[in-house]
Amino acid sequence: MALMYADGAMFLGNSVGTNEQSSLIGTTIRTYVSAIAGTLAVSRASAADIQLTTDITFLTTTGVLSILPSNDTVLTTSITAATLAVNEVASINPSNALLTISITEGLKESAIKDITPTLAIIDSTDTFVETRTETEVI
Amino acid sequence: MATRIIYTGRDTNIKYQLLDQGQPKDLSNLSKIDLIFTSLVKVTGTIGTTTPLDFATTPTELVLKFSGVTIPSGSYPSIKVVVYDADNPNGLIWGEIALVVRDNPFVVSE
Repeated sequence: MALMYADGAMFLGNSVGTNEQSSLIGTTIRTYVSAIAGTLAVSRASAADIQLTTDITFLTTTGVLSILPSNDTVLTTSITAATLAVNEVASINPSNALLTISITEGLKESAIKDITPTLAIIDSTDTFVETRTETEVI
Repeated sequence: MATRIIYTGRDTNIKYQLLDQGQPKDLSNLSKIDLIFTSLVKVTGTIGTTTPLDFATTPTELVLKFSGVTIPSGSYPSIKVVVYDADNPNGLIWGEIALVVRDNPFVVSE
């Protein structure tokens, strides 16, 4: 269960099969308790030039929102928090940047490293083998 | 840094990492990279493309793929590497690389 909201006093628990729930200020009647999960909890939208083609899955068993990129997809836009509503927890908004992953942010000491693979060197130099002379010791 | 040699019209296999305090950076969020050879010659690679600059295939590598680029032959000992992202729309000069550009050693005439 990922998100719960309740209408009423802060509750500590409830009696199974009833609408009663115990709270810090006494017992009240639970009017609405809901978990946002399942297919309606998360939606995705795409723009003409910014497409989120990945899957967003909501793991109801653990309450974890996962964004799973594929090999050819880069999430170039931002993720912004939206106004909490009944059926809207978060949205992806390509025009507003809240989450920015920048390589230039906090840059301290930039450098460039050459990682070009070493090519095989063709060596045409003939190999000289020195003749070994065996000496017999009498 | 070693000076690399490229030949016009030939494939290249030159790779670099952009480091910050010795650690390679992920280039995924860059929108563009410029290699400025001179005030009049530059090569631009944009996000989503793999030529003439590929920084998408491997996020931590900048690969030069210059087979389709014609650069005046000569020595370029201080090519500026400029990166662009949302924080730096005018480009941030990350550092310099050195290249020597030579003419294609064999050109088939039609």
